[in-house]
Amino acid sequence: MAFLNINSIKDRTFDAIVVGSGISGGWAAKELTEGGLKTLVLERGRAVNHITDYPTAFKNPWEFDHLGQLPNAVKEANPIASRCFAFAEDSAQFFVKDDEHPYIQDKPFDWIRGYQVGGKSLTWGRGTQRWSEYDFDGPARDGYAVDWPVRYKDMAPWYSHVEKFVGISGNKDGLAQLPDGEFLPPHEMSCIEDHFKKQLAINYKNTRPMVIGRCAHLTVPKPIHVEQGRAQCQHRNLCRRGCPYGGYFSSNSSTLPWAEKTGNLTLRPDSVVHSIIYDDAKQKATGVRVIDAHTKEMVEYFAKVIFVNGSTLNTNLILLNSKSSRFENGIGNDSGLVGKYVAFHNFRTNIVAEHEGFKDTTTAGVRPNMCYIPRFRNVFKQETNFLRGYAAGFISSRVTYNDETLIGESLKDSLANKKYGNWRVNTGMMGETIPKETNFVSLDANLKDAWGIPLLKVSVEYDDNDEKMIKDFGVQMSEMLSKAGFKNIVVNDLVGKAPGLDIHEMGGVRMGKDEKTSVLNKWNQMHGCKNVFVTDGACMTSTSTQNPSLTFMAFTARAADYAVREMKKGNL
Amino acid sequence: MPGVINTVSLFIHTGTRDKVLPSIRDFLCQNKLKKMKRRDLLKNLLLTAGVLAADVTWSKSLQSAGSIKGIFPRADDQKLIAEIMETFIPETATPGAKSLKLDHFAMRMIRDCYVQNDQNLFSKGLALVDQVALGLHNKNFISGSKSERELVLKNMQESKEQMQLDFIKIIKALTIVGYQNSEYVMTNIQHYNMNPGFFNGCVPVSKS
Repeated sequence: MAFLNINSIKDRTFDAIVVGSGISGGWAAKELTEGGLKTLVLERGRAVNHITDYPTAFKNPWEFDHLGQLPNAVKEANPIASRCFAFAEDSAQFFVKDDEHPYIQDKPFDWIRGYQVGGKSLTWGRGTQRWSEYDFDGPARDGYAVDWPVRYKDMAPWYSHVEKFVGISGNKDGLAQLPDGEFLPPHEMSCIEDHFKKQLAINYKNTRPMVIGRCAHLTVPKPIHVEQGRAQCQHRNLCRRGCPYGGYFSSNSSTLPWAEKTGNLTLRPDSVVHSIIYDDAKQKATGVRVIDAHTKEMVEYFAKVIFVNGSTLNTNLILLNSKSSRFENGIGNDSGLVGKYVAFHNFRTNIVAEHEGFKDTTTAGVRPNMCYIPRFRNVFKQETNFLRGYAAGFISSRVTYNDETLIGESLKDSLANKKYGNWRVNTGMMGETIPKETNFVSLDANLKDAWGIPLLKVSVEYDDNDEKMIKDFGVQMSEMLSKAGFKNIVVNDLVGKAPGLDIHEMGGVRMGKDEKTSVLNKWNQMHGCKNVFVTDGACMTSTSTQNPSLTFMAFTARAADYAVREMKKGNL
Repeated sequence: MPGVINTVSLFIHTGTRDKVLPSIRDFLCQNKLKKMKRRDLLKNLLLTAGVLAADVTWSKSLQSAGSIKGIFPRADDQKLIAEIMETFIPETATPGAKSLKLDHFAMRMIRDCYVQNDQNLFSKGLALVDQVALGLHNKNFISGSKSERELVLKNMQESKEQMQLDFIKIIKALTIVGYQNSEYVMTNIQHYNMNPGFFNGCVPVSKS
């Protein structure tokens, strides 16, 4: 890391600044430094170095005081984080604690954050499905949000670019609604998953396919991955602890060390970005104001181009807080849209079921992945009383049990000899939600955090379209399971589950063709301030149903390539 | 922070993406996100800080557990818990509950991971063990023979009294989970492999 002399403006001046070191910020760092730009990456959280800062990675189950569970005191102190499935004794170090970083829930919204170098790329779900042309066409066809300024054909080469470097395991399934990518060998389906897949093909005439999930795991590394210092996935499925093998993709294992090797990277953790500096005379952004997380001292850094990758809602916060005489309501916010049209993925319902067949089979080893049922509702035309649709994750396991009614030596013997029960499956919806002006974030007028930055107020909720979709998922998936011979089908509509726990929040700084109805152009560049780019989830015009990180990475690489070319032409 | 609203929901995650350590999927921790009194919260926070700072396993000692009034009020509670657990899983050619120090594990879990209501339930249930033993054999639990102790637990397990049933459910679950996840069992019986390196979707049960 380069030495920082904060007393010298020259030492605080770079070609590019990237705000955030998570999954998209890491990509901005990689592409910009490879493009020859001296790049400063600012991360509000602490440093997390690959391998050495994964303290739980090699802990055995019995080495955790509470077998992976968090003590009640931790849960009581962190009700928001505790509702996240991945916040546990082995991973709590990578999650923001509630009281350290308060925000205001105008409506219930569980905002799950990871403030550290690498951000949530350390703990993400690793699902990496491409969007299709039907997803980018969606808003224009169905008349919601605004038309995307890009189409699948614009994105396809950038998906490929990202996939090759990240390493994506997957099967070429040949589906129009879920385009194939650059795949490493796929994971296997279990016997019962394969049965369900075949039954779906028969019962729905190939209109409701199930595929093995495409995921960011090195099933068989290629030279480009070895060059990153990463090794084959060990099938531990302990990913959220950080992977000392680099078996899954994270900024820490991949893009950041790659950027560092160029010699063009300066990474500054503990740097809370307060706002972007706008110069009225130059009619450009000239840098960012940073508050040191510990000393709370403000320092300014300068650059010709700024990438904002602070994670969806924090990116909104930074833009809204970047006020100047030119931009009284936040930088780039001539349209008044920044913070509005926030959307998410509806994860509210899951279904469990059992199958009495295939009793002589089970699985062996561990699969850090799930099956994926791409959206089958309203894909090619409108066919239901709700807009858009849902994808679904699908996993299975063979139930095992021991006779636990016994006491003494017979109990001990029983515990050494597990018995096999039915196959059990679990499927959860990932529904598209419609971006609306009434789902928004804003800055509180009075309350500030410990760094003097206004608290974010989140006003996001489900709507009638979501409720209809939830019902449809329950009905359709129950029928699909029933036709395939599953029994004991239980639909769990988790009514109290607030938006946010999907950790797929998107929007607020949407892309579009018209500067009156959008904030960013087709290059993720602000209509009103051309040297500011937003390429994290905030840029998303609509959400579709796929796990979003792959698309954030593809947008980032594409925008960074454009920014480097524009800089070389002298346009930025 | 005034003005900040933390909406507490009763939702406990049942998502499809991940599981906690698979070996504890049936674990019985009675976590109901119930409102805890501020005094207890502070007490637990202090305790937790101590526990998290020390990198202990449950084969190591748990010095403070026995002194927590209200959860384990009697001086010999830990000894009684250890003997109950040993009765469930006795020493044979392989280690039993006492050798594996499952009493330390159980007390730590009850102290740290159980809500107050369930902690109370456990303490009251524990006090019933000697009552049942005296009723059956005219001597307290620890003074009984192995078969007498087993009979006490069997009686409680099949009791019509909810408090006895709840107590046995908790201590038996802790015994089984602690045993199955102990270093000895995971290493020597289950042959736990942190890095399996493969996944086969469909294999005969006989080869698994």
